[in-house]
Amino acid sequence: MTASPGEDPDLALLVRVGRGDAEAARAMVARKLPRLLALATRMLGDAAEAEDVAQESFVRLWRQAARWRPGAARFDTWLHRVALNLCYDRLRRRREIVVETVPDRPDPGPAPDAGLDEADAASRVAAALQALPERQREAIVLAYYQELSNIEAANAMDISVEALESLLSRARRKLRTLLEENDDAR
Amino acid sequence: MRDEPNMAWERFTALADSYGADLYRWPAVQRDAAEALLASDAARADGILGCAGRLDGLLDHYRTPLPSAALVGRILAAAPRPALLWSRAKLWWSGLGLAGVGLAGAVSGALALSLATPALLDHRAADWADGQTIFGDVDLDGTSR
Repeated sequence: MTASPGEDPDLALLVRVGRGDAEAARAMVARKLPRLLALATRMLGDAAEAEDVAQESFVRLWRQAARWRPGAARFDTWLHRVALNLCYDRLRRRREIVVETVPDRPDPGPAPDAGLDEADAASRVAAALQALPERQREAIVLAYYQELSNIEAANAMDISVEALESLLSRARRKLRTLLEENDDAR
Repeated sequence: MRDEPNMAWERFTALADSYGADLYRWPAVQRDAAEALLASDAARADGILGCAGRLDGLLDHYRTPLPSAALVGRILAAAPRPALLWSRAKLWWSGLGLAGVGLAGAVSGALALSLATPALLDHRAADWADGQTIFGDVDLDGTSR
């Protein structure tokens, strides 16, 4: 996975959005909203908050569309950065409000004889992701789920590629421990 | 004879630990070297990738819902609108402004004229002598009185 510098696949559509082209706005929503919503859902673990973040990200996008100047950052990387910052705002607010400690392993969920259906597996992975330190979770979400290139993910996180790989490696190690231990307990 | 792979097993393992079992997710600049190493000892590579692949399989269970129609509607409601109406309004106001400037010029010109030459207001243009102007009488030979 590599970034292709010099070519921003979103630029032409963004220009049309900036001119108030309703069709372009719909196309932009179709192109970006599912990914933004997925990003926020996995970062926050809360569907309603994720919707708020996705909506606010688009407010910023609409505002930026007419004055976007192609530069070093690709538009998609900028948009990911906006959504991540909004997620961090909410996570920070949660820390200020919630006094409970975060469990260091996910809830084992239903009893072993309940069977491992898709929803159950998804909720266990979601819980394991939430148990990761924020930067590790961010690295996994960007590089694995959002399928950003290593360079794009590192840019969005404002770190080096080496630091990204270190975060990913630690995140996957912890996820393996959380999820496979959980499987053994069933 | 096959070339020696340009990647050590330690690096191959580190990449699998970071990016998972699918070489598509690995940095493109290292993918060719990784594939060459994989081809050189498939059993060893499979052992490393199998471990990463099990975690990938678990992670892939976590799918997120598609955006609701209500969310799409709220987002589109805030999308930029065409600038057409605003442009027309600007054009209308600028036209009105030009007309206003012209009218103001005409009024002030007339006012200045009436103040500078009050006597002329009492005469009709038809009564003026050939050499009479608002700046005074001019002899037909070119001298002013």
